[in-house]
Amino acid sequence: MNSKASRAAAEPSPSQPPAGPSVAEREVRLTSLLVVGALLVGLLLQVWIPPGGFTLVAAAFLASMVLIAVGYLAPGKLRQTIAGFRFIATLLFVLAVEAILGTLVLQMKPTSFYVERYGVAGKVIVALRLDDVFHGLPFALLMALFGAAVIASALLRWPVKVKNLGFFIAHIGLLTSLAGAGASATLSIRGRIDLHAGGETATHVVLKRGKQLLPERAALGFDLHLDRFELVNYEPEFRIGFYEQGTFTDEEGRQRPTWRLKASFDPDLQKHRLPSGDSFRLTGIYPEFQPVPDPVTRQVKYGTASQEWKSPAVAIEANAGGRKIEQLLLAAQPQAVFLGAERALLFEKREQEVKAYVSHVTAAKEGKRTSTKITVNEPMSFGGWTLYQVNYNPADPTYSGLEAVYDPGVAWVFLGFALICIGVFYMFYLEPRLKARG
Amino acid sequence: MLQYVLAEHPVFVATTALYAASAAFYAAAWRSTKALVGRAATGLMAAGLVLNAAVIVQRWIEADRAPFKSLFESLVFFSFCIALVYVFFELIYRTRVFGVPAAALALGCLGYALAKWDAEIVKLPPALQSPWFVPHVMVYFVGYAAVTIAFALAIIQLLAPRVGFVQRLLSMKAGTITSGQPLDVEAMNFELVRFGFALLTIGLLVGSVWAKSAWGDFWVWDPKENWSLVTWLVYGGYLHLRRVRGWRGDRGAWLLIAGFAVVMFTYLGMHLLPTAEESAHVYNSQ
Ligand code: HEM
Repeated sequence: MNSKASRAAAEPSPSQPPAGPSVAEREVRLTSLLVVGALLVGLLLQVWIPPGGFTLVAAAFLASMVLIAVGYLAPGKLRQTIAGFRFIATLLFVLAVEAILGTLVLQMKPTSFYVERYGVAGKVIVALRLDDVFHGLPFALLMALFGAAVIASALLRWPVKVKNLGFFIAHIGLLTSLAGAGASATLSIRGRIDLHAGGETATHVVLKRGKQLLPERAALGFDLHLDRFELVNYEPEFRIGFYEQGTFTDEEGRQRPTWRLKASFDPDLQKHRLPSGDSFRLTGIYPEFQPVPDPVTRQVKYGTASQEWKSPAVAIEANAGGRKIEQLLLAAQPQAVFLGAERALLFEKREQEVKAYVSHVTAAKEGKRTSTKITVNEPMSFGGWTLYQVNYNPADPTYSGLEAVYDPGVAWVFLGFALICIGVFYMFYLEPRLKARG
Repeated sequence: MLQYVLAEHPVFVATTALYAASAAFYAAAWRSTKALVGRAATGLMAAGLVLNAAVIVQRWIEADRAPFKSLFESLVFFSFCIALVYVFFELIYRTRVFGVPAAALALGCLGYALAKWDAEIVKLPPALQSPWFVPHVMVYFVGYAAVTIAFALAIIQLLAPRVGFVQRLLSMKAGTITSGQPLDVEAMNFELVRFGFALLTIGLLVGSVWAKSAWGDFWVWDPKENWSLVTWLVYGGYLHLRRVRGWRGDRGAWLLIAGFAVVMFTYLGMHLLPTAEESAHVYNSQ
């Protein structure tokens, strides 16, 4: 598009919205028509065209091109409308509604799931393809309007100047991310690899759609072997827990009593105040508890065989409403100190929690071998694929579940993100300064 | 409970007391002609901010990880961010009339944190052990704080033409001394939303980069992701609509109130969604 035409098209300056109710009214009418039209046409067409990554991208691309072309060829207000603030704001809100819809209806489940769960409404959900909102045609056509709007508004502001560079960077970033997301939706392959330490070598991935595994497989193009799987736990922890009795509602709606942890303390020798107003302090801490007979008095005293937390015990002195209670508590035999009918202290070992899932793997391709570890947040990239730690089995310590992803679009998505961030900052914090300087 | 918090967590209590005192002084500054009253309010707010930071640092050391995991921890951080953004706001705009709502919001977060007190510090699951965790949360909460203050200002913007007292507040210089120049609350709101929106953008994108490294996909249409997107779209819609005639008055203010409702739902309401059970924010161990 030549710049003379674009300058002519840029009649309403961005900071001075067009005046006159008739222009506004026409814009509102056209906006509603386009948005509602896109949604309805999408709903209708998808009776014949199933949702999917390819449908989404192809439809969005075609439709936005058609819209731009019509906008520039046809007379009337179409071009100004789709390049305008009202239109884009409307689109942003409609997209928000779509995103909300996707959180109200569980996505990408088998058809039977919806019918079982929602009955007749389930059938409607499936018929309208609300089970896969983000790959359907209404969404694709909204994205088309979105793309067309970005392009039209950019053409309106052409050429790029230092003072409007931010707008171009941010909105080109948007398009780059969207294009990357489109490439990702159509070209990416993801699947699952189940491995056993020292077991067979994987050469294929089992493909997935959403969270569901499919019957198809894809070749990895290299061999993958799990050398070892490690489940790293946090250090064991011993604590003084303060419990209060409360109630909970069971599945049949009945109120039942239950003990709830209200506060917990490290075993130390300080005096501690409890939420109930009572207090306690430990008078002895014995990491490896051992009773020691006193040779003189012949009484048994408490002692510890070492400072290692192997079989700890603590001597506790609690003050419950003026009543003093002294007791020895062993972690191995949890026993409560009752401060009242509904309050108790307990010395206990916390269940050990998982700190890391680590797969030690070796990948080999044409004589090239790489051994590395894969953990959650630290995937491995090899042969065009990226491998992620996603699953384990507490009953089978040799098993590790990996997700393999081939995604040529993601780099573009992230490049777009960087541009959006830079553009937004430029627009908000540099442009005003540049404009002030004149 | 209060005795327990007082004895075991005195810095938390002191922070709360300072915010409460600063709210009282800011309110007094609406009436008093003395500049000292206003300065005391700011001083108390700043002191509250420092102690709030101390609560966070103390927890960070005790937990041996960033204290942004539980609702309690995030509320304490949220109150810090609100006070922080407010103090800068006060410095930039040189007005103290909004100190009361800001202090009240920070105080509200701490009050809610008190109700949601953690019985115990929880461990960080593997999915959260990422270098992206801290920047993601920090950026989001500062952004949330900005749009939260914008929410309070939007209410003031709506009340100003309808309530004489609020109208008068907006032209106060020091207490009852008026400058005669009413503050442009709408323009302040726009600035707050711009700042908030820039941070929400970074937060969303950082979250997406993190999702890629943890789950293998930059976007999984998880409920929390979707609602963060909704938040972003609503404020994006606001920024664009502001250029449309008729959106700088009440309508814009109502939109900011709606935006805040979406932020709160994203922050606190995810468990109410039917899709929450499927949330990929939970590590899969089947
Ligand atoms: C989610 C996507 C979008 C985001 C995050 C976004 C963001 C922004 C932001 C932050 C501004 C600056 C507002 C200001 O000056 O304060 C802006 C300006 C603008 N946006 Fe967008 N935008 C988006 C999509 C679009 C689209 C699809 C269009 C296409 C019509 C568009 C058109 C414009 C225009 C025309 C401006 C004004 C630029 C100027 O000052 O000349 N935006 N956008």
